[in-house]
Amino acid sequence: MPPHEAELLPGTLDLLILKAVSLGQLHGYGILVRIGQISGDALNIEQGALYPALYRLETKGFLAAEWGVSDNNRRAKFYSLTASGKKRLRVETAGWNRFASAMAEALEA
Amino acid sequence: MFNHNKQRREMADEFAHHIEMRAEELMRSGISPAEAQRRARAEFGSVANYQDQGRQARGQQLLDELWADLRYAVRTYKSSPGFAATAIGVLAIAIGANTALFSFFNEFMLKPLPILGAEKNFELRSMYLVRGSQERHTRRGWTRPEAAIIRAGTAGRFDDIYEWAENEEPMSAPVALTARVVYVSDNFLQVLGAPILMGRVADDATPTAVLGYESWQNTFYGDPAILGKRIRIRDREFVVTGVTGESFRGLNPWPSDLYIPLRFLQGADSEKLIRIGGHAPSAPPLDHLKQPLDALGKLEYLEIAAQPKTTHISMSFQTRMLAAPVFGAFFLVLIIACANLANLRLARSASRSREIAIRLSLGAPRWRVIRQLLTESVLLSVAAAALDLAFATWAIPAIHEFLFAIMSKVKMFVPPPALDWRVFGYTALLSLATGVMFGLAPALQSTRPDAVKVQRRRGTLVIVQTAASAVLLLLAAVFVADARRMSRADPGFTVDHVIALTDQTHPALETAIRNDPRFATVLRMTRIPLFGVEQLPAKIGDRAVALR
Repeated sequence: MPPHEAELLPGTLDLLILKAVSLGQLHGYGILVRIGQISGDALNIEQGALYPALYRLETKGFLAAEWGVSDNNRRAKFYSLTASGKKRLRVETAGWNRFASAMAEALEA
Repeated sequence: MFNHNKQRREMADEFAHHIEMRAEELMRSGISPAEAQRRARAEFGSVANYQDQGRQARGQQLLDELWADLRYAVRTYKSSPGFAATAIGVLAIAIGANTALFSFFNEFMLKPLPILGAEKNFELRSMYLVRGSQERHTRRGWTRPEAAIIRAGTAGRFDDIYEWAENEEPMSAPVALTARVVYVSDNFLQVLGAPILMGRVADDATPTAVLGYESWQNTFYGDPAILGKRIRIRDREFVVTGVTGESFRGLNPWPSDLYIPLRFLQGADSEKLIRIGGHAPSAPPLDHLKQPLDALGKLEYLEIAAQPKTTHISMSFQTRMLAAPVFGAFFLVLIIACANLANLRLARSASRSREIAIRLSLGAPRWRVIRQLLTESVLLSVAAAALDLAFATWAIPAIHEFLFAIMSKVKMFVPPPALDWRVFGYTALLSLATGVMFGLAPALQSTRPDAVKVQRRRGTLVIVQTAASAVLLLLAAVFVADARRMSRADPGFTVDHVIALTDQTHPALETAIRNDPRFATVLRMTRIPLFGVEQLPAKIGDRAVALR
């Protein structure tokens, strides 16, 4: 594994998906590309692992999905953030920030 | 969960789209199409594995939500225990009545007979005309000459064929009582798989008897030295050669006292009909028996058939026609209870409209809120059903004991209906259906964006409830009126001056009556006219004096 790629902490994939989708409706592959862009390709996951996470978020009601047509004229499923998904993203982001700063402080002490 | 296949297809489509997009991107960076495809697949990982995880992500989610809904429902009812208790009580009565009915239905019409080879058991029946009349009769019994013809004509057509005849006979020694005797062909007990507790099966030639377990226990107090003892039936002695195991009841729901070889069956051919059963993989054709049976003279046979006898009461057209209205009436009781509770919930939904409106505005899908409300109503009906089953395990033996204690004179013992997986499954399904039935309308109603039509919906429910109650009342009235009319029906002869003595009567008593001048007429018949109209307990010497 190249040194700049980090293992994914549990739960962080969900947060990254919510963040990626909050910027606009996307299909599965689009979400992966978007996560790659916003994280500077710092994440190393098997691409298929994205989907169980997507379904989990969809059944929890944070994501809404509908079938549409993608750029290359193929049928694809597009995901967007629901109202409760937006709220979830806010709460999770705040929680993550608290956690990250606490960890940073602890490691510097 | 119902669109399992659709879900699987959609996942496959979605994954395929992903891999193709990735491959196209790789191709744009100058990789050959074949290599791009390969690499895209490798990067994606195992499709099957992720499909599995995807399904789990959904399934697990449903379970989690169900659990959350259940906890929420319990909390809601804790805050209004009065409503919960009333609802559970009403539902327990309605579901309990239906379950009780079903358990009888199960016992006699669904459960296989407790004999060996119940699934391939048949009984021979006939449809015939009495010569010179156009009236059709059906019958399950055969006279001795008929049985002989059938025995010869069915050789090799059944795996096993057996004969029996049941009769209540006067036993005079060692104790005097009426015994339920089954006269059996020599293979009867073996073919039906009767367990033999001790001794051996009676052999055909000598007057021997095998005791039923209950008879051995109750009449002979479980005498361990019973084998070889003598029993007197009518005026013949039988030697006890064996005792059947406790579980064996033959083809009846109740146990029999004695099994005696068929050749000791007394009485004229036409009176003592022999029944014939057999085991076969499928019903063998028996039309070839018509001609030799017709040749016997009196009857003209239209049909001779082996009918499946796998349960106590077979599911014929007639039994279904009889059972349907009974089930219908019990079901109406359930409908009334449901309409009642739906109405109650609609009235309560006003107090919960705020909570529901908040959940909906927070982005909960309507279906999700409906599911939560349905969980609440199903929780009530399942609690009611659980209460019923708990009550039944205690009440069935108690009621049964009480019934047979007050009916001890009938000396008939029918084992209590058992709660088995069929009853359990029926109750579970019924309670789920009930929960949905009374919960769906209020759930749909209270999650509507405009909750204005509540009044109208409640009106409809009241109408349903009133209509169902009216039908039930009418049924009850008809039933009572019929029973009254039956009790006053004119049997066509003077009932007051008739004494009926059944076959159990000791032969010496019959002779005494024939010689008694106080009796105007003495008749012998196989069946009392209008059997069951009214039977009075009578003793020679008191009421009989007032005869004539």
